Amino acid sequence: MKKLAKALSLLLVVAMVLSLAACGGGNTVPNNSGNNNNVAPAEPKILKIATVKTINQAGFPSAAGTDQKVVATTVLESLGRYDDKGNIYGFLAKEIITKPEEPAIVLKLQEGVKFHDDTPFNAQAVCEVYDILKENGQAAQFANVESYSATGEYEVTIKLKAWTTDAVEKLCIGCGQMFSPTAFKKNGIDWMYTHMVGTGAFIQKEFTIGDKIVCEKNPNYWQPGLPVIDGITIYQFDDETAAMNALRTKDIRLIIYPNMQNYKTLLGEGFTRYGVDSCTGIAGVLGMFFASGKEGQDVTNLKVRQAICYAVNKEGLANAFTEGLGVVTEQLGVAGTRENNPAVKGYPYNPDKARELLKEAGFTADHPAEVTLTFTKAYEDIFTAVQRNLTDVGIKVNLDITDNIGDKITMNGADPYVSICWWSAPTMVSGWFRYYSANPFTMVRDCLDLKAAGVIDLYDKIMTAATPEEQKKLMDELAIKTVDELCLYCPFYHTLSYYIGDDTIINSDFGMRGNTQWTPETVDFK
Amino acid sequence: MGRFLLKRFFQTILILIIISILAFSLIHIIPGDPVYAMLGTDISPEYHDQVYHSMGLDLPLVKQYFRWVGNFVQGQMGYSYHFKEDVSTLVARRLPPTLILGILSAVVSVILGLLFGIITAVRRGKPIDSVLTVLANIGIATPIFWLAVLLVFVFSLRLKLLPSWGFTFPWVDFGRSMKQMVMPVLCMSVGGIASYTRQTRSSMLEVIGQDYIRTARSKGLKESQIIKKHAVKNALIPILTLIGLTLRNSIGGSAIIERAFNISGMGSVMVEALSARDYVALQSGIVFLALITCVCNLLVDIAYAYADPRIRLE
Repeated sequence: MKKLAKALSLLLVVAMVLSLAACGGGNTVPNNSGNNNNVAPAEPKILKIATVKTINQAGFPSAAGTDQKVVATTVLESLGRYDDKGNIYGFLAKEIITKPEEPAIVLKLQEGVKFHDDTPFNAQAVCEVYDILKENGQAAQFANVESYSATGEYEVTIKLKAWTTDAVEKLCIGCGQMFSPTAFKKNGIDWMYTHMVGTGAFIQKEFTIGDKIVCEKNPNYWQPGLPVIDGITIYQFDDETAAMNALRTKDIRLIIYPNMQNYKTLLGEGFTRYGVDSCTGIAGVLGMFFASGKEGQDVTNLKVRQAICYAVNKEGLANAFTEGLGVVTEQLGVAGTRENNPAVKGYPYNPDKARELLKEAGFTADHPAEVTLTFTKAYEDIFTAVQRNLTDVGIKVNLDITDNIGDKITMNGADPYVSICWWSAPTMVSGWFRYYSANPFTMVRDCLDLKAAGVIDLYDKIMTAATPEEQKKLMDELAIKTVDELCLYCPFYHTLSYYIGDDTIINSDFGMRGNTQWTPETVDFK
Repeated sequence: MGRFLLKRFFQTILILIIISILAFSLIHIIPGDPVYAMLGTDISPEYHDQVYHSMGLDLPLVKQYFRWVGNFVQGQMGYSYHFKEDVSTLVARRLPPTLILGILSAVVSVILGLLFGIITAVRRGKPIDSVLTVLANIGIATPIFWLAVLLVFVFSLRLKLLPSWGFTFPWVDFGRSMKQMVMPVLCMSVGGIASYTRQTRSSMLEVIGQDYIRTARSKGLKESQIIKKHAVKNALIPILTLIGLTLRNSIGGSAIIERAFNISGMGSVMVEALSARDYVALQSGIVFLALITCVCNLLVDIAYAYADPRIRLE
């Protein structure tokens, strides 16, 4: 016992001495700066990023959610990309030729590009990727595709059943993320979940779920001179506070989507916000869609719908629920995107106007308009606030908390709905009518006959427009019709995309979905 | 002694069997289909059937259990659909950091706790006793997550002496490893140090009041000799029981510290497996932690028997 105690004491003393010795060096946090003149060989420039969500797969069959997208776009590249106005341009497909009259899409591919497993990226590879995606959960994306084939070593021709404007988006971005089909065939689907073999500027070296994802510079990247840093490591943090501390000590350079409160705290400490507000698919709108599953609902009356929109204090909601970071919007296409129509007037907060409209519609204090707000538990606080807004102008409000909004919509009106909480990527017009297009008449039922009102027809025209200009004109028309004329939905606010970090990667396009944000041109590891 | 050890060994085996049955039941207690519960309802029926079969859920219950135990003993703990790797690989990677931190913090707790306990008992009523006793009370009452936040604030953010997160194995980068371990080990040790201090103090005070100590004094032995040779050895016997518990608590309760310092250890695996409904990883994790606890207890029992002949004779 005595000997054991002595040995342990000795061990402890040694450990303490070594610890103290190790602590003696001042700033012990690994420094990636590379601008320390005393260090002869420059340390590799590794961009360290924190994610506060568990990423247990990335890139295959497609990246879902911001964190997965950030990881996937580090290694994988897509056939097309969005520019900062939301237009799609060719990337791995250097040219995307649309032929609405045939209808067909021709992809002219970049030549000389290789996957990280050294297999060639060519027309055959694209077709094989499409085959794999079709068989692995992405068949719906190909529903409108008649056929696709390699019409040259670097040319793919896709024949469509009918022309739709979202075909390019689906095939060049949604299913356009290119991975090595050879790797898939060799290793199988389970392997693919955590092994990205793409053409990107970085090569995946390690993917440890719950720990980190390590990517190293691709020395043979097809764009000369890029990337300008040596690697990216994405660490998973279970605790946001730990991630914030690591950012403060410069041990990491960026946090992807911390919660809004932490984001605001870091912003207040002088960190930089990254993110592209006007990029398609980035921002999300929270609001209500009007719908009714039962005949005779009060929301079938346009004036009631408009009164509801006027009654909701959107600014107040944005301030209360987004730490002031939400931006009030009157339409689904948020400011800066091509789907946005500045001519839409909307319904700015005006309770008096709401009361006036209700009176005009024949509702009084003795006979109030009655509505039911249907939402999922996660939105309880915000819809309780909305309930208060509506009650203030004399509307009787019932709250209906559901587990699944989708089930309620398609239940053919078993319950009366007057609103649906919907969080989405609103800047894609195809997303606006996600529910409507699935079952347009069930959703709005007695609210409005969308077909008779010309909404469905307009939507169809947008989806089949031959040119972006024509599509834009029709989208503007749709925004006016659905907001100002018919008041079909009541958006509250949209949140900005946000990542927070130091100024390491400033001006690097980080946050642009689908961009190779990992090839920053102004990396400064200060 | 041999009989005593054999008895304890079989008791340990029995406990492990009971825990393994409970852990095995986990997947069958949850309502609904376990595969859908783990992977969600969006998976295709073919994939569901494949997973169902690969997990052996189509076998009779008893056969399932023995298959699972048999595989576990051979190191095949199944495939984690959340972590997307074999649980044995996962455990092999994530357990060492937890073990290292747990063992280190247990060692620190025991040594410092005993030292402080002896000092407070020997110097009873003196200022050092008061100071250490107050500190021990504070140590017991301090939540470790709060302590972790405080330490990070002081040593990482303000003084910039220590990294605020991460874990490196000592054989990879010793200096960095030490720096990274100081705060987690300290956090995990504080409670233990405080408990040992209090326990050792009361145990020592009890022993010091015994007749044989008085006899030793009357023989004219030096006080230091009395403490070292007669008091400490006997006072430590009840403390031995605590040592096993400390190690178990350090390893089993490491989740908070792993989270606070972003260490990829076994504690965070368990928490994540729980939230992701990864029952395969959970089952194995539970049995593994139970195994460690049982081994610790067994070792303590052996040490106890070694230190106290009365136990052996009983």
